[in-house]
Amino acid sequence: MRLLLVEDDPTLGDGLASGLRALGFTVDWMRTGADADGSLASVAYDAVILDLGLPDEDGLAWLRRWRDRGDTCPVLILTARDAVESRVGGLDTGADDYLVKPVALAELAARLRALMRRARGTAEPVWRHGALEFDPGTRAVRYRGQRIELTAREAGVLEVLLLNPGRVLSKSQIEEKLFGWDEDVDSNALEVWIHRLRRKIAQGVVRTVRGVGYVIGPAEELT
Amino acid sequence: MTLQRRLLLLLLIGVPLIWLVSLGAAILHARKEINELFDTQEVRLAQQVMALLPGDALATDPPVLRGDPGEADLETMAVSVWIDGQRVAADREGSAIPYPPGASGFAMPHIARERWRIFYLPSADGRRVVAVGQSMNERRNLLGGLIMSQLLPWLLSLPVLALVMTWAVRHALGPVRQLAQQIERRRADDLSPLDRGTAPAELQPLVDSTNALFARLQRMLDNERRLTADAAHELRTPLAALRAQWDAARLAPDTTARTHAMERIGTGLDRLTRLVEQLLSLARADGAALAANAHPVDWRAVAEQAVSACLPLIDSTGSEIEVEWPETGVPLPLRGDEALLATLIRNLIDNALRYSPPQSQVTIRFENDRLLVQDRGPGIDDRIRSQLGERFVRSPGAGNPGSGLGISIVRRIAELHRLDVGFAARPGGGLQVTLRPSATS
Repeated sequence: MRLLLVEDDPTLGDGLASGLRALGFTVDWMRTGADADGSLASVAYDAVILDLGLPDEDGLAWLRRWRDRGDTCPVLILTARDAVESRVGGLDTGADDYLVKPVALAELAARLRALMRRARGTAEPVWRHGALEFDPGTRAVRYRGQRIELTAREAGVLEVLLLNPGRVLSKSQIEEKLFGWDEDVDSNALEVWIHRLRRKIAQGVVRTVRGVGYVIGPAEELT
Repeated sequence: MTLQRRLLLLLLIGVPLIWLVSLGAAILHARKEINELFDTQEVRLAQQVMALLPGDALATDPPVLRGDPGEADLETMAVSVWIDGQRVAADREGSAIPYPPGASGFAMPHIARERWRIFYLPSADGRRVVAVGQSMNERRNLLGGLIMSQLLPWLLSLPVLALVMTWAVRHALGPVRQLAQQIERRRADDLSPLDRGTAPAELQPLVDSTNALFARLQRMLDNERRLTADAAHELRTPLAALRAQWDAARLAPDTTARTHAMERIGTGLDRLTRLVEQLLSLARADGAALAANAHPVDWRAVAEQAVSACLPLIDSTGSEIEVEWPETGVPLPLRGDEALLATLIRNLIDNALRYSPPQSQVTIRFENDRLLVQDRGPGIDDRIRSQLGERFVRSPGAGNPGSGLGISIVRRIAELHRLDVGFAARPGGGLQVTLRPSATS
């Protein structure tokens, strides 16, 4: 899952970015509203973590601008402003969640997962697809009740495909969710990970649509 | 003792006392008047009797008065007449008047254990003597009656008077009581001004000065509250950073990442420490009772203290610091608190170093009428300059971020010392901070 982190404080931004990456998220960290504009315009993020005290612009104004443009990306506000009016203002401006600093990384991650779950239109904490189970919290994968050991990247690919069942995703669409701006992408990496997924879970888990991309295999075939 | 009790006591003791003194004076005066009146009557009567005396005979029995005597008390005057030492006529009481040979004028003998006042009037040849007398009891009774006629109504009205006075005093002191209740009923944090409208003129100065005190307290409280709120707000980000780095360190997949997070935790702790120190100095400057600590300032000691405190930062940035003194005269004469002023200069140096590139030079220049702190940093954005000194406003994109408190502290301490702080671009690049006595002082 790819996140946009908008936070001007260097130590906090660095800590959140590395912590979230360690939890399996793909994180782009931007320090100003202008930089965040550029990122959000070019990438379909799964969620945005927004600080309100940005150096060039108030975070709420930034959010309002994007909501006015019709952007529906889930936004979680993470700020030092703890007054009730600030919380109400943040949520009413279009934020989906509001957290006051400091916050435990585990809670932040759980709230992000909840946001994305709601964005998918489900309340189920563990995603099920046929006999395949994916827990986005622990990133544990089970197939027919058996625990499958996956690397972080393999789990990431599976997550992206599970988030878009029945939709063929191009290679670049998948890569966009997996890699941040500052990461180099090996052109063959995705094929390698998909190959490993098929080997570890089942051949039918990922279906290749020639000339278009990949899609998660139909649930009825993964029994 | 309450004001009310004191007033009542003074009134209830004072009023009867004054009344008694004036009554005493009235009695003395009345007695004199009565004596004068009756003495005159005695003399007149004696003269009349003398004039009426026939050559030899006089009826021993006085004529009996018939008809309405009016208010007259006919037994009050006794008359006796002697010719050649023989009592020739007397009324009933008059027969008791003694005949002292050669008596003339007033005498006050005892007759039947009563004091009498008798006027003896001898004729020119001394053969005839007329005496007119009156028992002193009569006069005393008259005086007593007069006193009673004054005293009685007053004694009867005394309880009423006391009640009325009590009510009047209570009523008059009502506004004081109301004021006291108004203050007493207040919640501890209610510092709104007292109602001035209902207070009488005598209490207005008290109400005004109390309201002025409330206003001062309110300002102080607001300041404290703002500081606390600001502090709570500003502590969140460094705490969040520490928390995030700690989580990152725990989750780090390899040693490099863990070491990186650990280093950041160190940085975060340094920053938090500095923030707390700054908050404390701001709190101290905010509440400082400067007047008590004000001395003529020895700037050399102040500069030494400030520069010493900045030495670690000076060393770590490889910067140099230079202090310049005026060639003649005293550098910026001022009365103030040296510890606070050292904090002020330390914060200016600190700011200059943090926003300057490494290995740059910071100059502190004392002149006769001002103090300059100059650096070769990026200067201050015009947009930010107007907000400088508002707590926690800081220049964007600063690689070595401060808390945004430094300038607040500088401003606050300068204000306490009636100094103006100016920020200006320095010719040749950098920032120049100027401290000079404010024009209003």
